[in-house]
Amino acid sequence: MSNKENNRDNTQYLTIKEEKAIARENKKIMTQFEREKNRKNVDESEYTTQMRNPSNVIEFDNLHTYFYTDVGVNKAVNGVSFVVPEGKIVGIVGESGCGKSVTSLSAMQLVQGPVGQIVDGSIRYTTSEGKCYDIAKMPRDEMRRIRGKEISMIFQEPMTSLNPVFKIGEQLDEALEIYNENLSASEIKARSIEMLELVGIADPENIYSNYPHELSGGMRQRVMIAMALICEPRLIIADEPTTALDVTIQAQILDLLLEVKDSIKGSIMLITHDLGVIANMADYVVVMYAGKIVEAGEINDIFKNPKHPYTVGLMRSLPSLSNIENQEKLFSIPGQVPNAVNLPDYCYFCNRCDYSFDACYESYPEDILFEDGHRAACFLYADRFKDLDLNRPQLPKNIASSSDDQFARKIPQGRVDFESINNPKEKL
Amino acid sequence: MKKENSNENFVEVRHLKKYFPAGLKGTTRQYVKAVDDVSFSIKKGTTMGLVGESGCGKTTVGRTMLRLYPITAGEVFFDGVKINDLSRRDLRKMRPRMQMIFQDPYSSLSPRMPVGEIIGEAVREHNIVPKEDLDNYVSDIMNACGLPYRYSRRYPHEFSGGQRQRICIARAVALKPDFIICDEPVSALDVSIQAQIINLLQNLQEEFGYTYLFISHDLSVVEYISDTIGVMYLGSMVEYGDKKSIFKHPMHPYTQALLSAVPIPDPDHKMNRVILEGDIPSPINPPSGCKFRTRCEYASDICSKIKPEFNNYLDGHEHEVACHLYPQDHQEQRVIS
Repeated sequence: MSNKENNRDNTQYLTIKEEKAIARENKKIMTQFEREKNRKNVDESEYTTQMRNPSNVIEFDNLHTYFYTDVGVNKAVNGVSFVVPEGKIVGIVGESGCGKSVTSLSAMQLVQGPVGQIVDGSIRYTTSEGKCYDIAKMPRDEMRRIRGKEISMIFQEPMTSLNPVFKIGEQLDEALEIYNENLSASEIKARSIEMLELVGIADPENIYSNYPHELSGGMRQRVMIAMALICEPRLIIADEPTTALDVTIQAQILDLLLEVKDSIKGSIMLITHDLGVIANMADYVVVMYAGKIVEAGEINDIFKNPKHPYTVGLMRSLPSLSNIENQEKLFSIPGQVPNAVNLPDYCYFCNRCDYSFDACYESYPEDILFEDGHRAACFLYADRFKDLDLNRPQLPKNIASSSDDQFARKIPQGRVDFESINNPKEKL
Repeated sequence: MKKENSNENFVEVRHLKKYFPAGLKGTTRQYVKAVDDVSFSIKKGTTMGLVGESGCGKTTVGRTMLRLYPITAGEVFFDGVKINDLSRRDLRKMRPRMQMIFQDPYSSLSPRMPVGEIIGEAVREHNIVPKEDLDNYVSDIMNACGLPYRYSRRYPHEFSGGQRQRICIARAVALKPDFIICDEPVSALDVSIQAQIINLLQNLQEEFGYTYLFISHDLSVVEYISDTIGVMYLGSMVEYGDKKSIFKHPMHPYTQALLSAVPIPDPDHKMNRVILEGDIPSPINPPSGCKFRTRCEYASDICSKIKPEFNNYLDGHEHEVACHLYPQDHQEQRVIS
């Protein structure tokens, strides 16, 4: 109980003296990391490795990305391992601040330095030339050959990620110019316009010479997608691609993403906090909480048979469109995400968890493997506690069995036959 | 605890219009028709949800109702009082009874005021409680909203998004209002926090009998919290009625498209999405006739000529829709040139 009390109040104050000491210490560490990254003429063997499984596009292995802030070390990504198989969509879900964006930025080497640093672990990636690199150890200059061309990113806010002072066309051309030096200006323009057409922009020639502010939110996001796809990357990282958009536009963009993924034969890492989007798009799901993966597995395992109490809580806290009939009180996970600067050495979720027991306050749970690569980090399923009489989370029926027709909503299209609703003859 | 005795409408909006001038002064004045002829009513103790895409005028409806914007045309009644005609002094007396919770908890709290002061300021201004009871009152309100009183000396930046939204709710609730407009109160929050805030709003409603206008673009949240729903498109209401009826038989093609676009968190769910083509048209020159016709796959000639009228087609349901797919009244057909 005392643990619970202590954790609820996460904000702690530091004196200026303490802060200065931390800053001094951080500076030492950061300069060392920066020096490492800025080295010239590094031998390639230093950052070439082998993939565990050649059918994967990218493998994250025990990745640690820390931010050395003046109030302490923020462990934004704290030991994350997962893979993205070729041609698949991997969804990463979690609350804001759980490290899902930092994971993807690490894969692009775009973590804001010198404060943010990849401290430990590796990110293995095979280029289209067949060389396998460890992105975590790659020098900055070498990374430019991969970033944008092999791995590209669609950012969250189309409003802020496009440069307002350049025309759409110029911004699209830039990426091509850098990676294809032998193309002529007219060829580049033709390719850019073709790309705009591919992402479903009507009248691409006009849009090519427009400025970003002249476009609507959906159009800007399409331009962002065109920009990400223009070099035909093998891996697209989509960081909340639809969060700023309306549902109707979101549906358009998600369909577009599925289409282009097939046309360039790429894989997608889809980062979102919307479980509905994940359910419709992803093949594999990774659930993150406070910088660690709490559960990962195939889409059906996660949605039909979630194990970790956090995943179950997330599912239950959704006001679902498909269960209009049983209006019970919405489930909510109490409390808040712990402060990433002062993480406890036991399970990060236990003080919000309804099922926690003594062991949860002693050490961080190891990954427990279930069938077919489904894993969860929770003591409830550990072998050594198998015999304990613990109450394990139960999914409400409507989620566990929503494939039944009774819960699936059928939305009529076009004219509703209101006469038959008023006089339901057939039922009698 | 919903009051059953009062059948009359607590809040009523009739033909509300709000135009914003656009373009330079001196040139021919054009107007952004942000809200164009919207009517609805809310019964005491119930919640009405207002849904629609961004830019359809949902927020403007809410703000115009409170006269945060001057009303261009139309009438707003609140508990039998016509809001349009109130003098500034009378309006100020009404203000505590009508409160608003804003969308973004990050920008709607003054960063230079401690939380206790934020919540207590308006209470003091409107003399809700005697001066000496103010601290106790603020403490009660904070507890009711799930904020420990020891936080009252802290500043907004020390709180997380969910807690800030609780502060916004506490600020609105502290004035003992009857009617609260919630303008996208959960869209900036995470799923697990979103559920906490929705539950808080519902508990407060059960305890104090508030009437809510719940503005959101998230249909699943609106479905959960509302009793009646209005669907807006480009400044106009296209469908309005009882929640169950709207979600069971959405009649307007726009409502159908909106509902089908919501991703269902279930991998087995068969998607039969109606994907709308294109973007929402400019509200400066909205399409003639039915405003939705430019994106509607069922549009015919009549849609561009005649503005469809609101009609109720379902017996026993409060459910009105304005669409030419359904027979229109023959009384008068206004032809729009």
